[in-house]
Parts: sequence; C-alpha cells; structure tokens
Amino acid sequence: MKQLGFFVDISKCISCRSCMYACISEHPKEQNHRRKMISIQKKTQDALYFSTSCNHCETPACMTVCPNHCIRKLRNGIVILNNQNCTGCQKCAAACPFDSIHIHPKTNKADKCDMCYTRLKQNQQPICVESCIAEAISIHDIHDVQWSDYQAQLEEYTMKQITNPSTRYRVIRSPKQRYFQERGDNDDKPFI
Amino acid sequence: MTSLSFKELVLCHPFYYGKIIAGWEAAERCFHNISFHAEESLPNTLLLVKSNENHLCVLEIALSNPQIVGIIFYGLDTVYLPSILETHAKKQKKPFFFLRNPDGERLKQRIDELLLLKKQNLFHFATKQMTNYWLDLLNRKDIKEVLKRLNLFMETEVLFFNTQKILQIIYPTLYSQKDFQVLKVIRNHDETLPEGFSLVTNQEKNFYLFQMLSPNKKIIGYFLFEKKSTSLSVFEISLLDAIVPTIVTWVKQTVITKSIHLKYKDQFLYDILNNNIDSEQEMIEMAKLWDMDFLPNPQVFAINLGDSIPITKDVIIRLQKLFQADHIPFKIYTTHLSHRIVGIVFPTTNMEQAERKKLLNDWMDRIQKKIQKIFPGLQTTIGIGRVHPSNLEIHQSFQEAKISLQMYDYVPMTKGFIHYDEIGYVRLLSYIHDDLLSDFSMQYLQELIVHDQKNETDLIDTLYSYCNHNGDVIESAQNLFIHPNTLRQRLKKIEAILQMDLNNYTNIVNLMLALKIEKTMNI
Repeated sequence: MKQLGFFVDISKCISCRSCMYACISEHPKEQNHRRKMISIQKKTQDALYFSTSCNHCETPACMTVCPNHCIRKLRNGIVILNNQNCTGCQKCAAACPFDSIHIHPKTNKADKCDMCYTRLKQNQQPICVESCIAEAISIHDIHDVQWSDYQAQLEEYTMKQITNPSTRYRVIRSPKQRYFQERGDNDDKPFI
Repeated sequence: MTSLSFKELVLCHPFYYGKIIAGWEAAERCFHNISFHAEESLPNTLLLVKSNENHLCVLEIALSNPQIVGIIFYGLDTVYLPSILETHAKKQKKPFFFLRNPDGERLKQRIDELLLLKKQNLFHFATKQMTNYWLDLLNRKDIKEVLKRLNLFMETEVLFFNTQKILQIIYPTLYSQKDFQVLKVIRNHDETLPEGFSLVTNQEKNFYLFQMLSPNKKIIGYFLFEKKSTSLSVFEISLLDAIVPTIVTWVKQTVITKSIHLKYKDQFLYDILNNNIDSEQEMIEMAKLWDMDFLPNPQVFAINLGDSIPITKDVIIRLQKLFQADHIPFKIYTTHLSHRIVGIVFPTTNMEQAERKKLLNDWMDRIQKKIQKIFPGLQTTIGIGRVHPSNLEIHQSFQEAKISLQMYDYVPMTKGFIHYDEIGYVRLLSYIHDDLLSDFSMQYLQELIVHDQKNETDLIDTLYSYCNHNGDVIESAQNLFIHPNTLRQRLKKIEAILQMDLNNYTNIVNLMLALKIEKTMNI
C-alpha cells in the first residue's frame, strides 16, 4: 500500500520559515502550530535547520488512543484528524511522540497537519512544499526506491521509531570553504 | 433421399437462435421436404409458418397433418400462442419452435443448403458456426442461459465441475457435491467413447464425464451428465465440442473478475484496519459483499515476513491459504499489507479469555511449524493485538499487533509470537525520547558501569541476571556460572556502590527499568 511522507533535504533549508507562514496562512482558523522549525546545533559542525510537522506514521499512536474515532489513515498513508467529534481529551496530543498535535486554545479541539490532502485531491502540492523557496521539502511514496538516499534517521537527529514515522531526511555534507589572506603590503588594513 | 433431423438443424445458423416451444422430445425426427402450406401432402415435411393474423388456424391444421413432422414459426415479434397448441405438438411429437426472422424464403434457402451439404457429406462445415452462437449467447446473456440452453438441447441436466472437481451451482439443480463424493471410472463397457469422454458411476447412476481442455491443453473443467439408455450421439458430441471455447472464455472471465474483486476486498480490509469505516453497520453490510461475517470480540494479528526468501505473490497466496486450512473455532480474514500478512480473528463460539488465548497460541504454533515446513528459510514473527468488544475497534487491535511485533526483540520470548498484553512496561519506554531514557539509565547505572570498566568486574550483568530471575539467588548464580555466595557478595558490592537497598521494591523497579534501557533497547 502507498505511504506518502515528507522528504526533507536539510542541506537546502535556509530557515526562512516560508513553509511555516504559508501553513498558517492556509489554515488561519486553526491558530495553528502545524509546522515548526527545528535547529540542531552541534559543536564541531554547522547548525542544521529544517521544519517538521506530523510524520503520518505507519502505526499512529494518536489513532489508537482517540476515544471518538477522529483519526484515520487514508489509503495513501496520510493520517487525518477530523475534529468534528473531538472532545478535547488531549489523549492524542499526549500519545504523539513528536508533539505534532495541538489543542486549539479557544475551541479546545485537536488539530494537526493533514498534508493538505484537499489540495492533493486537486492535484496540487501541500502549501509547505509549494512555498519552500529552496525546494527543500517534497512529498513522495516512502516505498519508492528512487528516493532511497533519504533516511528515517540522521546522525544528528534521531526520532522515536516505535510509530514508524514516514518523514525522511537527507543532508549532504560538503567540506568547509576557507578563505585566507596572503601576507603583503596591506597588513595593517582589514581583510575585506 | 437426404434428410435432416431437428437436432442437426439447431446446430446450424440461424436455427440455433430458435426458441423451442414444444415437442423437442421428438427432435430426432427427420425431414426432407420444406413447405409453406399446412395442407402439404408430401411426407416428412418441415412446415414454415409466418406470424400473421391467420397463423393460429394454419398451426392447428399443421399439427393435425401427419405429413408434417415439425414446424418453424417465424416472424419479427414473439406472439402469444395458446398452450393447447403446445400440448398438441407435444402429443403429436412434432418439434415446434419460433425463429425471429422475417424472411421465410431465406430460411427455406438455408435449409436447402444444409440438406445439400448433408448429401455431400460436408455437413460438419455448417455446424462449426455453433461455437460463435454459444459465445454470442454468453455475451448477450450469461453462463446460466448458456447452460440452460445446453440442457435443453441435450435433453438432460449437464453439470459443470471446476478443475478441483467441485460442482459449480450455476443454476438451481437437485444435485449437490454430496452426490459426487466418489466417482469411479467404468472401464469394462461396450461403448467406444471419443477422446475426452469417459463413463463414470457414483454407485447410483452412470454418467458421462467430458473433460474440457483450453487451446494450450490445460484442463479448464468437466461436464457431467447422466447416461441414457442409448449411447452417446454425434449430435451430443458436436454440441459439447462447440461449447468448449465458450466455457474457456467464461472461466477466464471469472478468474479476472475474482482477482479484481479480491483487490477491492483488500482495500476494504485496509479501511477497517485504519479506521476508515464510519459505522459498524456499514462495515457489516460491506463485509457481506465478500461473504465475510463480522462477529463480536475481534482480534488482529500481524505476521512479519522476513527477507530470507523473496516474498512473491505466490508465496503470499499460499501463506494466506494456510490460515484458512486449519480447523479452529475462529473465522479469519487475511490481507497483505506492505511486508506483513494481517489477519482479523472472530471467535465463532463463546469462550473464556484464557481458553481463547490458549487456542490461539496453539494454532499460531501450528501455523509457524507449517510455514517452516513449506518455506524452510522463512523466519516469521507474529504480533497479536488485544481483543476488543466492537468491530469499530479493530484498528486499535491492529496497531497493538504492530507494536507487539516491534517490541518482540525487547521482550524475552521463547515462542515466535507475542501478545500485546505480554509486552509490559517496555511499551511505555518506547514512546520516550532516547536521550531521556539514556539519562535515566545513566542516573542509576553509571557508577556500576564505571566500576566494571575500571576493575574488569561483571556487576551490571550480575544485577541484570538477578532481576531477570526474580531475585532468586540460586538460579541467578547458575545462570552466571558462579557460586551463590559469590553472587551474594557481588550484590552487597552493588548495594554499596549504588547506596541502595536491593530489598526495596522501588529501587528494584528503577534498576530494572534502567537495565532494560541499557541492555535491550539499543540506545
């Protein structure tokens, strides 16, 4: 069966937050925190930036705990939360290992990323994919061998695999470029 | 003088389209003259009657005329005929049938052609078109009509058996599979049977068995019909030979339909397992489309198929068949999802939880042994979810089965399957971030780890063995291959290093969690 997932090329992400703001604009009523930026700072390496949202897991922990059957997994693998019957019990938010589900402060209903499946039905890409200026985010079937260079885990960033999240990451580590000034007549002037 | 029987006539175009009204019992009767006049005086005459305002009078006269041996009633529309005419035809033993054709002259011309072909021993060319007729009938109607028509021509009930020799009930019949449990071939008989035919008996009656082959010589099924007092006629052989391509087509269509059907069935099961069905009633009604019976208290199991052998479609089908073959008080519906076979189990009788678990465990054990036998290299692990009262909670049991599979490596198990309720606290630990787990584990065990590294001792392993053997000093010592006193000394050392009393249950729980994280969770 198909399993769509977000494919994030971390080397391309410039932390512009376009994806985050596009998501907020697309779903204004939800006051949403559907997509958030993560930065990983390592001592010996440059910081890594990327955005995350719901991982549309193969074994969604949220689906198991919801008492009102609000959460379902579609045939393309997307996990949908229909909050019509949501009572705000917050079990799904607590069960999610990735903190991807949030409760609306006013309506007290749960909300999470749905991979813009209404846009997908109209043959459009999710808003975060379309708005990313660096083309760092895309969506594909995780079983497609064409994208096998993307991994579920990175050395710098590990996620709980108990729910089999479908988000995949890639980081191309290029060697650092260094610039040197040669000693000469202009030693007292600053290097520009 | 060349004559043609009515049985031979219906093998030819366009007469096989004729609707038989009455008198077919006398279909062996032959004619050699054709006439449009009911008062015809030539013997053995076939009368052609056009549908018009006078046809009833004409038919009455014709049925009473001894020179007329049969009637073809032709026209554009079917007309009402009083039943007394049908009774009369039956009584007079005159085949009487209707043909939707407006042109009587063309019909007469065609019959003359057939008589000429028969005279010149070329009649078999005319009967070749009957294959097209059967195919056309299958396209216009269905296999039921085809077989009904065959039964009418053969004047006996013809039963169809598939390649597994199981009777296919295509139309209502008095026969059932029980009547043909044992069929013996009769070898010593006087009749010379053509190729493909054999004489069999079910100890009550004798039957002809006709084996049908596809163009590439594969058996596609069998026809079985009762042996009458007379031997097999050329007419019957021709009929059956002509219908074989139609049966081949139908069997192929059925196979394709079944495979498409199966695809939708897999999608339906996927929807159930992923909470895509809105109500239980909708689920039960949709299940009936595939003859599935959704009973209360369902449970789901998932089988991980290892990658030691290539998992082809054939392997999956054979594995799925294994689950149906065993005699257990459960109904099981399986599907293949990604790299797993998933099954939904419904108990058919009321049973206690413990009894149900035992039956299921025994069955799982048998299944794994069968899988090992059929696919020697294939390693399987089975995760079993909990029983839930409602069918709408099947998706929860499915998630539990998947989690059980993932936890299999972290829980010491001797059998190849694990229940969700056997996982224990490991299930909770799996949801916590690795850094937090590592931090917790180090809080309790770091000093012991450092001591082991510095002094080359085995205090961590000692404590792990002690906890795994429920605090039994003798068993733990045996496991570690040391004397119990040595073990007691080590435990005292551990207490001194950790500043903990190992008789305190809270300390033991904390240490067990820390050891579980350190030793089995690969952090």
